[in-house]
Amino acid sequence: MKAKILIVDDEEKFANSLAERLSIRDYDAATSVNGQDAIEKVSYCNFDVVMLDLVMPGMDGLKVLREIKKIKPLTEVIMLTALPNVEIGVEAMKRGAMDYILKPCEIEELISMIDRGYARKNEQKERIRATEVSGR
Amino acid sequence: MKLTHNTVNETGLQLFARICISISHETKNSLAIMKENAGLVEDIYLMADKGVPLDTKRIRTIATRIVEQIERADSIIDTLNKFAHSMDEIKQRIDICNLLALVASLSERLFSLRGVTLTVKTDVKPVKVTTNPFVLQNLVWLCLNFAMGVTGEAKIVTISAETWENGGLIRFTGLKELSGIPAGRFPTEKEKALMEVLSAELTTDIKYEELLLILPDENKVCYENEVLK
Repeated sequence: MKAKILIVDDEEKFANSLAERLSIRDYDAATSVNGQDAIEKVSYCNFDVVMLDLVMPGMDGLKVLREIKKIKPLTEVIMLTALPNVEIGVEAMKRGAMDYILKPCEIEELISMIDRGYARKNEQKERIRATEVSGR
Repeated sequence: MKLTHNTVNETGLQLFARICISISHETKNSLAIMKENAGLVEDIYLMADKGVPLDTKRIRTIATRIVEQIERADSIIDTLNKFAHSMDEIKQRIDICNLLALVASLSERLFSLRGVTLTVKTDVKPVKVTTNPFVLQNLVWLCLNFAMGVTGEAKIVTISAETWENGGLIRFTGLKELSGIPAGRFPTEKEKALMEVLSAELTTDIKYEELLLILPDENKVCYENEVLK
């Protein structure tokens, strides 16, 4: 099985094109064009990995990241940004983002990150399950 | 006077930097869309190599998307180019309406990020003045930044220009929360320094919820000789 992904970017055409490319590769990819909508989608749908744009109107990427981590702590978040800003990247990692990638990006690099995030989420789930079983 | 010059230079550099950040960010976004769509064409051809019938309609749609983004990037670069040319000559004969349209275009992304709509009233006759366009862009930019914070829930700012006595007048309307601004908060030293260079006046009209920037024609570009020589 492949990861279920949510792409959050106010550049709708970017999000749609990326989703299309991931779908071709058999990933289940949905899109969202603002932070509020993304949080709603994350709350009722189990995404494994969220690709999240840093700079968006309304709620910015860092605020959305914080909310996602509150609702679904195991969901892995990869930050997307058009311009390199090490400070914001570090801040995002501190707040629980798995990694960040610059736009435009190479699809292979992105897929490798997504797969890593999916594997990490599954490992975490397994660890929690194992702890629960051993605690019984 | 030296303080004024330093403030004007500093404010100009800040504007230049912010515009560069905004323009490069938007261009990168446009390039990212082009790259994803070019990648999609590649994906479709790879699928065709594996026997999946080539979907020509899909390819045409992708080509249209790429052309749209090329036009978008082209327009962004045109705006940057016009902005850079505003420094060609310190004193220029300009149409304030065109200058407002340019500043609005440069500020579009900043406004959008703050959820505010900026409208430029273009159904007016040209309003010509001789002034320092770069400093005026700076001042309009700072006024817009202030205006963005006082729109209230409507979140709409409208700018327009008209002829006024011996010069021009720029109106920033839709400032619903103007009455709540404590005296002395605006204009700040930055705006005051730019006003001095342009010999401009800035007044607020709480009743009509607007900010008025009055510009003389044939102004004295007082820092031309002292700062830029």
